[in-house]
Amino acid sequence: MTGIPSKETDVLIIGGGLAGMRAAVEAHDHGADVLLILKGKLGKMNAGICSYHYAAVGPWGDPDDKNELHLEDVIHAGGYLADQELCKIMIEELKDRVFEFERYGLMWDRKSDGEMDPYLGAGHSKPRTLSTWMRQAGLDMIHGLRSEMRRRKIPVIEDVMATRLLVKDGKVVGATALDYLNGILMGIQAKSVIIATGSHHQVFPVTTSPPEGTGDGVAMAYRAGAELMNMEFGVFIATLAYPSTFKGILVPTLFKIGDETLHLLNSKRERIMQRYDPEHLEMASKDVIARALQTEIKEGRGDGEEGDVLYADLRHLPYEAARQKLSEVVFFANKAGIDIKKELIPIRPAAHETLGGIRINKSCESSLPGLYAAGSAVGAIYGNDGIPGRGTGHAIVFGRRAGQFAAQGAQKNDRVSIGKVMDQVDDEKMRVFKPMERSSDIRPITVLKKLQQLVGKYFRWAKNDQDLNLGLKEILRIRKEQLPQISLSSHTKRFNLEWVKALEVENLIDMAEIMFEAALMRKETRTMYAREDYPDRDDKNWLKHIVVKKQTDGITLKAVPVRLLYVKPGKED
Amino acid sequence: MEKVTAKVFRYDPSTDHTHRYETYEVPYEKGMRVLGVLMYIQDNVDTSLAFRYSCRRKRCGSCGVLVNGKPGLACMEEAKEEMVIEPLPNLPIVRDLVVETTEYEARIQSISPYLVRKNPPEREPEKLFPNNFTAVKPLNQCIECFSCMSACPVNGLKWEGFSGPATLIQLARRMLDPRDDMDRISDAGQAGFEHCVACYACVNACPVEIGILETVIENIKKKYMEKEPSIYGKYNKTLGDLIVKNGLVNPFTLMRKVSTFDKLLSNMVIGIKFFRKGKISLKGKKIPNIDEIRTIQKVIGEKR
Repeated sequence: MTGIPSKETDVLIIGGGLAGMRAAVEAHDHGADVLLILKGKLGKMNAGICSYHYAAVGPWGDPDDKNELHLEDVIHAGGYLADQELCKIMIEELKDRVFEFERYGLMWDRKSDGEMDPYLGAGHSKPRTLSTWMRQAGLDMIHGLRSEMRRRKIPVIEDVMATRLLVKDGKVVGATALDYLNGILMGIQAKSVIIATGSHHQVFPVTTSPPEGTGDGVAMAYRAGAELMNMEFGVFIATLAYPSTFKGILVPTLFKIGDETLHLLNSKRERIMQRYDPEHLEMASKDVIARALQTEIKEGRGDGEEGDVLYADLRHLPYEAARQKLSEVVFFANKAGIDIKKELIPIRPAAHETLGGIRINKSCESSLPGLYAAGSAVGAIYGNDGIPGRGTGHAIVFGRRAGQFAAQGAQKNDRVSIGKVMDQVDDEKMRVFKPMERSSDIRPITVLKKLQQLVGKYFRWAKNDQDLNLGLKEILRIRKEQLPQISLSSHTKRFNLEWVKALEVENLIDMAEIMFEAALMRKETRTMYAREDYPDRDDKNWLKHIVVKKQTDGITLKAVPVRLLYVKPGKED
Repeated sequence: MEKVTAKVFRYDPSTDHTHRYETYEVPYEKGMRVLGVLMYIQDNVDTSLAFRYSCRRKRCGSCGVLVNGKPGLACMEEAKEEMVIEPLPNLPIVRDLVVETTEYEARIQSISPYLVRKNPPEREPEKLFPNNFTAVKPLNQCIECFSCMSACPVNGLKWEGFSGPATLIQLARRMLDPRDDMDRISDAGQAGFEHCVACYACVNACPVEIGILETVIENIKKKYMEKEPSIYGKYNKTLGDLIVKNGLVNPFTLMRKVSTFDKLLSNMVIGIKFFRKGKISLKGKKIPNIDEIRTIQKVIGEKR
């Protein structure tokens, strides 16, 4: 073994979205040496960039609003599967982050008298949702954090994909990462490692989220022995149906223009929601809409080659108001050549986010000492669905905490030199370079498309045992037959994205397998999680988190009771 | 239109002596974007093609390319029947359509691209009046896609005297923020804002429609004039006087009158470079209706 280029730091942060950058800033401010590495370019590759809102209780909105109410809203939306202890921490720390962002140069929307201008977000009981000009809170938050990274001159290595955690005596002591710009595997020794690599929504064929979300960090943590949770959950939502690159652009139903909303129509031009929720219609909760869309498609009332295209109708809405409230949909529909004043907008349901990830405690520590996690790489603490603003809030609050605790943890630890874990590094080098050396006609993209197709078909919003078993069998077959054969069409080591994809596919196969296993275990229907064969909510057996861990002989799953510390499930659904 | 014919720039500096163009035919779909064409090629025809993209909705600014000679975001540009797709110019090429932007990152870093306040606000949240942020709001939209940098003819000279439109956007973003207390005038001078030739190339290239000339350059000029009227004012005045007097500007006269003694020689070298590349000429035509301009100047002078 000739050794590999190595770096050392106190706190290694993997991922550069809201959570990763917030963690880097905090760890730096706690005096730690920080190194942030990410796939792609800083401030560009993340899901936060597309978020609209942030929500917090503060000296704005309704004077009667309080954290307890916000907590109830969040826990209710998540089907009472939230980790209530962590949720309470999140809710309480949200307000200070609002002020912090203005110090970072962002400006929350103000009324003409100079005071904050909160609004009532869907699923919130009080107006406490904040945004910025043009409803671009996420983008402005990313830009704000990016400025703070620049102010502190925090070292960042871009175009690097982390591939494996290095573990010595049960403790995480660093990671290996593929620098695909130059085609070399590097080793990074660190006293603490924070995973902020986002979710693994790329298991789905169509998603609202960006292509980097391949669960790299979660898969890495899982293979190193960390516990995951909530892997059976995902959020499904209506998005544009074409052209191909606009698939996954969200069509938000929850905007009111006067007393009107957009209408969802099927192939017979019937208003879909009249059948499923005549009272709330398009203002119904996300899970009701997801169920409606999927039922229409299943019962053959969709258009298009695959029968999965439905329509959003904006024709009855005043154009100017629609353009302002639904600016993104209107903009992109126009770009696609659709005249929203005269034509229907084709839509189809897509995956919005995956909610599974690493299980953390109050200090953002995983079950592996030395390993921390934040953002969407964490198994969502709010349960199986969320209300607007929870994604950005979760990323920022736990990003900050991860930075703080990882920096403090680093003070207690010594660095372990790469030489002491050289056997792991050697193994990893073998694994990473294998697709480069192999020759076959199986390409990463072929395997990825096959996997996405399977997940799209069998891991729909409404699942059943039969589908899940079929899907799982197919996934295992891909793992056994195709994964070991993957090879690349070009063997260049310079910015070879196909090489990166080969490694991503392996991570996604891990994620998909766990998702199917966990979904087979949860035999109930609860808000955004649905089983056709178990259509009722089962509080008696399933007020539980499913926790997943890798053992030498495969996956082990256990159901851990939810601790109902502050909010108990109500009678109504 | 049934298909799109795309001629795509291919280059791997680690193995190729020089670049080449590959032609691909891609089935057209209604509303197709350039990104859709690139993704189709990467997924179905040539899996080794390298390009960057992420959000697909002009928020990340990572898919900037040159389409038929014009810079833009691949996710937004409409696919045309015949297209030449190339990397953004004036930047080192990593591979195929992927370019290196490290140098611009360094330039942006040099202008302290963050909010600087002497004192924290008296209460939080502080009162902020939207009217005071009218100028700065659109600048927050900059996604650093570097389309403007590659379109800018002055920046295209890879000349350190002008740090380019994207850098100036970041500078103006702080300078125009009423909360910012830092004196950014000398940074503006260092960034060489006065070398902008007001050609509108950056404005036309900007996918988020930032009025780089009106909002960024003009506002920096204004602030600069308030603070440092001597140097920049002299340039502006001389330029105006020459136009009014002669109906055209002889670049060398302008340079001689404006340059300080120590800068004269280096400016001369740049001037000759400009001249050789045909960017400036000594055979310019006089403005035909110069009388009108003289009248306008007279009226403005009286109003002041």
